Amino acid sequence: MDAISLNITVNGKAYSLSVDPSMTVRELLHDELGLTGTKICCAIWVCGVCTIAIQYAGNDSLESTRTCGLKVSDVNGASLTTVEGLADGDNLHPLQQVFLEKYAFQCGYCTPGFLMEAYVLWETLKKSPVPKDQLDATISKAINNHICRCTGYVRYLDAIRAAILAQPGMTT
Amino acid sequence: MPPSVPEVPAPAELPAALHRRTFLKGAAGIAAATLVIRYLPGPAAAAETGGAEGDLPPGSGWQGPPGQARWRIDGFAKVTGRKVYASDYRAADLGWPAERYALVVRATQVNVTITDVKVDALPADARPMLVIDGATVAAGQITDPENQTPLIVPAGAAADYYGQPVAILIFADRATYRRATTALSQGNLPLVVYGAPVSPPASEVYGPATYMVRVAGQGKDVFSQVLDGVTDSLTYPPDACPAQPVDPHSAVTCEAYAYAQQIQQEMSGGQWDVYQQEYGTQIIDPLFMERETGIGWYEAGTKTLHLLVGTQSPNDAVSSTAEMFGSTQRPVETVELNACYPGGGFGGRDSSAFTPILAMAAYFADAPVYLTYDRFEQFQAGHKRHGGTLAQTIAVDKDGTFQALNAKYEFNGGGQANMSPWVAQLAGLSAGGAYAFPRSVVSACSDRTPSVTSGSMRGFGGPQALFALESLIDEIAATRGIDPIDLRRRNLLKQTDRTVSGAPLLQPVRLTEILDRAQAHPLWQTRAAVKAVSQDGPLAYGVGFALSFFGYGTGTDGVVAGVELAADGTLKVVSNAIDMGNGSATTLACATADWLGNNADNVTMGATGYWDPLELTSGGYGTLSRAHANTDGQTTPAVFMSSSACITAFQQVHALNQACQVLFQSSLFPAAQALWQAPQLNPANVGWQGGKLTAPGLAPLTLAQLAAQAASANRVMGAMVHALFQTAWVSAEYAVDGPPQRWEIDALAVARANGDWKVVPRRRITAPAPGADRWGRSVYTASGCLAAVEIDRSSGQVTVSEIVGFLDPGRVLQPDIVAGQFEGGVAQGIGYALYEGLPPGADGPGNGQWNLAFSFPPSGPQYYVPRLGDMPVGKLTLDILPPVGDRPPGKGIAEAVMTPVTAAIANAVADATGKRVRQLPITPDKLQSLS
Repeated sequence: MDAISLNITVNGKAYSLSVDPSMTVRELLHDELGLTGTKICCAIWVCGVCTIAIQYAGNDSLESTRTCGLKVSDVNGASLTTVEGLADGDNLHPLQQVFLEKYAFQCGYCTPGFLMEAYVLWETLKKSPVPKDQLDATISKAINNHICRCTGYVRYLDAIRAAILAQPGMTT
Repeated sequence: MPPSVPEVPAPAELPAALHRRTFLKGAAGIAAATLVIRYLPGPAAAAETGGAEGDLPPGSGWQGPPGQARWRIDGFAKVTGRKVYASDYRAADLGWPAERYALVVRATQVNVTITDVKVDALPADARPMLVIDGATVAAGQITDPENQTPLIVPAGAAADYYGQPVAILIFADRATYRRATTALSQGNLPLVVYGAPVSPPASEVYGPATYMVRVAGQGKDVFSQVLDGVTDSLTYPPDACPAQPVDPHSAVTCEAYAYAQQIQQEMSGGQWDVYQQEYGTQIIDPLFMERETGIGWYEAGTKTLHLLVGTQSPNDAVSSTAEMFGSTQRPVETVELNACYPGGGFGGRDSSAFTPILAMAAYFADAPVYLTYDRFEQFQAGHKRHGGTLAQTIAVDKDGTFQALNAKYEFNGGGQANMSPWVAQLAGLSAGGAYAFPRSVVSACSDRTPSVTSGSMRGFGGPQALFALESLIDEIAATRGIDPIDLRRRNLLKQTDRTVSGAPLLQPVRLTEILDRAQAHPLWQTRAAVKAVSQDGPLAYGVGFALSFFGYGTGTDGVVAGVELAADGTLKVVSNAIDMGNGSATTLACATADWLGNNADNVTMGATGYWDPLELTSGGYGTLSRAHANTDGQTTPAVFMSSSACITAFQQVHALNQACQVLFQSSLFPAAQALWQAPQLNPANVGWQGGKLTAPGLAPLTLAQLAAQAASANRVMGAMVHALFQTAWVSAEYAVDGPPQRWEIDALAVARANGDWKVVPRRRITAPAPGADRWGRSVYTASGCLAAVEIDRSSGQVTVSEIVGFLDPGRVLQPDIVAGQFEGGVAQGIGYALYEGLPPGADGPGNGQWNLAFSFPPSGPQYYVPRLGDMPVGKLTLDILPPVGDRPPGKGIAEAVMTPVTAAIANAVADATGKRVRQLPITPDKLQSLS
């Protein structure tokens, strides 16, 4: 298949690449750009370990997407955020920090997927806060389609809740 | 600072953090290969090799006060996406040439010959440069690992099991490999050409089978495995018991059989009520999230086979690889293993077939080879939990006291022997659970079948046995109309009782406390009232309980630990353990605080070759060694053990504590005496406070001060130990500086500030008592589970609405890690009870069609594992028994927190519906079929 020209932004850095259009975004990130935080497991859009945040165009909302089956040809012009893009210099994102402090994960392989799903929720709540009594349901809906085999999930839920509640303006 | 590991020149482009290499020469009787194990990476190495821009301080801030961690030592690397797992690496990361890509072609039919692998079915630009098949393996004189069916189907033969490798295809580069995998996933491209049918292989039990018979007497057993010996039966009942056995082994077997017949006659004699049921457990997948992945490279110039994998058993990986190539014409003189943090394990990475397949690919290829299973192939090739049939019979007298047990377990071992005999053995040892049986007949075996291989998985046979036993006990209670906890209470093991092997119990069992707490819990107290309220509603409600007394470890545990102190006070811990997410790296980093007052600054895990200075060889202790200087070398009954989540708190922490104790008593305390100028100071009068060593009236000393003093006096700065547990820790006397001291280790090496590691000879060793190797297990963790369920009366769908766990963990080292193990164990217990299952045979995962399911119920070859929505969020609590005594040892808890969950759910479903599903998983279909 002929290569296509791909212009994307990843973690704030612009790339112009020539790539096989059938390549998945996950392959691009992990194998071509060396961003190893985007993992692979089922590769059929089920488990969520390959989740990143994506903004397809400047005015589009930030959304989470699985990347195992997402072709690079579908993300031309988009801005992507991976787990490597969460921290601000030496400062971890509050979600990363609370994941550590709450012992949210064990083996950690699914952690980037949970972090990126939570990050999209975080950015969404910054613009559209939810009532405090709906927060657990909101978080659960966001992460319920992510699979973790180690933890039983409750520490992920606790950690995301704690991070959001510690941030002013995300709940009403 | 002792020279921790020999340095080996590394390629200039190799990142500095990857230069560490350790050597293990001739360990475990391996052929003439030098084994090198290198652990990738600590958090520091992750940062140095990470591809992310703007590296952050690696692992900064994880340390809490002495003995505590603020977060996991490997946590920082994992939340920032650093290279941590085997699947993150490529050959260039290791300074190796560009890699080829490997794909394994597997059989989806058995009992029919395989005549060809038709690679020209692939598009022209997607074909391999090399095909490694049975003929290649035969010509290369590769030896299959011991006691296994062939790794690759021999030329012209039929596959032994579904999913057995037929060939390994080597592709020149990733682009070609991707074209091939894309073509295979999109089209019907049968690469394997099948020929004529052949007769199926004869049925076979993976030996040794377990056959234990016990008859209790007054104060002393009449007959038991511990008392009389291990039977040698491969089948049950034994094939032949001549009237006059000619050797002691068969004599024991025949005697056991005679007692078994006597017990069965008593059980059928009418004096007791006899309850018998057959239960079934399903094959499940460990489903660790990172698929097995690795890189292998046969470097012809140095005759070195390099491997990078995430494995739970690095020792086994290198030794079995060395054996494979022990008689090849192209020699393999060195096997180098780079072990990584695995993305989950749960036993499934213990002695997996992945590593030998990778080694095979690397050996025949002309460059490094990258091999990854996709999830379909991980289902097809990865080891499973054994499914099985469990016949359980209990005889109960009129008072409700258990009088006899007959348990007969038969498991589906699949196509390779792997761990099957030992999984069946632990199931058998678990057959009596937490209860006293004065008479017991236990047989357990695993059969060779054409299913995907089953092996080690969390619980290792225990969950299957516990499901059968705890289900039957509830069935007995229901039949007799008594409270199921009361029935358990009447029959609990006491510390004066013995297990089904005849082994005594060494520690307080604490089972009564668990029953007390469960019975008093509101969930149990209100169950009838809540059930009554829901009687006419859409949801049926029920509560169930299950009790577990889980033996952890292997019965003969060999563990190693090292501690090194730099002159500036920096502490480093070295272990051969692998942290699969269970937190062993963090726990060990904090365990130094007991004797050294401070957490370790660095932890090196998986450093197996590091232990060379101990000069360990496998063997017994001999007879003279008990009272005299050791004359038989550095022998030990078990050199190394595989990593599992439940051997950290007791086994690994013990070894590290001993190493720290050696360092303290040999070096730091004398250094303190010197600094304080108090040569008469009693060690009982010193203690650590806030990281400083204190004594009444003297200025506290930092570890850095003590280290500097010790280094200047050329004292011991490093201690590495081997410890052996077999019913008790083996101890011996060692003279380091001054009079001999007794430590609970069987090998010691120390390094001084200016010297290499040197063995300290052991004297007056206390070897295990005769027969200790027949106990089976001797350390146990008591646990229990209350489960509440709600069942949709129309659909039969079961929802777990509350779980309360009860646990005696001994000393809790890291509370968050214990709680996390429990929560994860609950999720796995729910999955095992309600959702997960793989069929055996042709429709099973060996067909290569299985992957994860998006929702439940799945359709077709889909595998559903619990999600957050399946957890009783907000209704999940762990009730921990307070420790007994001052600083008791920790216990292995990772299996104990999970094993009772499934049985408790099964009992809750029966309570709610009045129907007993005896074959896991308890699906809506099965429940409704019972109506």
